[in-house]
Amino acid sequence: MPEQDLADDVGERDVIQSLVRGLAVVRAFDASHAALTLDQVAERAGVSRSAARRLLRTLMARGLATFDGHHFRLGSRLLDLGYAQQSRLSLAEVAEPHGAQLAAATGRTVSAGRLEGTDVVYLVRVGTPRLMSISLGVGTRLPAHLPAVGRVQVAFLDEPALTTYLETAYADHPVRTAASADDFRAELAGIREQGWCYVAEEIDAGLSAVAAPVVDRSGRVVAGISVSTHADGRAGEGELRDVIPSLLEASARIGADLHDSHLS
Amino acid sequence: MPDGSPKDDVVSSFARGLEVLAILSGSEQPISLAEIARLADTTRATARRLLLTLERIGYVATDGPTFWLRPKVMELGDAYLDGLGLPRIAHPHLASLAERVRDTCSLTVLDGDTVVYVDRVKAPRMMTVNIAVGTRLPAYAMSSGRVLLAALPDQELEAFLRGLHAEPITGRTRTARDDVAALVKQARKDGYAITDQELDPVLRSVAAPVHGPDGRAVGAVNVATHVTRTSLEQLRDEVLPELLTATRSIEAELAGASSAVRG
Repeated sequence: MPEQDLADDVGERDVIQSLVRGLAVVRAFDASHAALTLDQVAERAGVSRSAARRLLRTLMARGLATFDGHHFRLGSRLLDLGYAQQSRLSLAEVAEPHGAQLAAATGRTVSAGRLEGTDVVYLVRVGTPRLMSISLGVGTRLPAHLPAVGRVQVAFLDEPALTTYLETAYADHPVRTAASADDFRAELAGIREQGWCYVAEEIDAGLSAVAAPVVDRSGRVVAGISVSTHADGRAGEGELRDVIPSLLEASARIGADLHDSHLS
Repeated sequence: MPDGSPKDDVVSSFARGLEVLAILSGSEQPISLAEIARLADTTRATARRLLLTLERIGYVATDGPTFWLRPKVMELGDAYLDGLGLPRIAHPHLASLAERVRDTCSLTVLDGDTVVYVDRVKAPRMMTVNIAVGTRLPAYAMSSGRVLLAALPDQELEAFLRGLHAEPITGRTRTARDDVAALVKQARKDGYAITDQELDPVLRSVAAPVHGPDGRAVGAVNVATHVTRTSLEQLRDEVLPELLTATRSIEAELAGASSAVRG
């Protein structure tokens, strides 16, 4: 991950501790700690009382906090620090740079999609070879369990939703590789267990993909991301397995970046 | 430093770090190190260390030559919003209002002479107003602003009006002090306010205040509609009743939450 690379090449001595501590002071406030005394701020931010006082004064000087004689509170100017700019993004815009990075690192096509009803809708598609760019463009809908990017999300549906899914969308488009809906349910349980899925040639001969779920900060699966290949036949599986660590890293980075405002 | 030391200063590197965040926040494009150093009025070496510190926390991304913000920076604004509490309580009511009126619904608070968006729910349709949480707009030109100004104690309202230097934003913005005073007074009497193309030539908006258990206005909810879709009559006759239902539900919940705490 980039943070890791940075930590290695920057080193502790380049990190400005008072900036780290100051931002920790802001994060000391939350829903159940909206108004805090100086001692409470110091304790929650893990800084000395005198450091807490100076950091709070710095926030007050910029109009980011107020003091009523007993308690400190944060101010709405904190929203000027990137909130409006970043909350305006869509899920696709948050996922795209991570998808592009993964496509560049693997030299393959990367897709991201989210469930809408029983369909998966493609939100991001990067690294597509030019001659094939027409198929599966952004906005394409498919029955969710057919491509890997949707199947990995179906695997994480809760039990009632999964049962309904198998009785409806799956019954309309059963897969070649499963003998029955129960078989397919077992395959989904395996996907849930391992945290990623591999789908070969379900949509198109030669098209295979591995996919991972994108999990938001509250633990919900909100999207999927996949790496696909047009290698000949089944040759793809071994090669695709090699990209799984990078795929899981990319999905974790998207999940860490996602905020509720990107999902509405 | 012992308590009560006379050298009770601000922390300059923290202040500069906040300035760097503000600079990145104001740019839609990635910015170079040299440009950030110039805008923050500091050396390249200091700017580099500030940016690397922010990157390490996860607030900033870089491709080497340029820097930009990452969504994780939103946790700073969330610390304020979570403490405010109101957005969390109001959100489901905003969502059901947006569902019924099929236009963007926002929750705002007053900060001095500006209105700040602290929550918004987009309508379930294609062409919709997309005002982000954190947006600040001048109170005098907004329906939300007028109902929030109307809720101020007289002394504070007079101070606001004395300091008012309103600029026309569209051809229809009411900027004269007496006009703004009269509109605020009307909002106080009516319990709602409507603006017609005063902030944006394609928008009409209606707002109503949300009162806390002590009777003070803690925020306002507004519905922004497109002029070609919603007439003034529809705004008043169809949207306003739905809006008032939503603000009353939020008020009931605030009262319930407060009595639960007391009980």
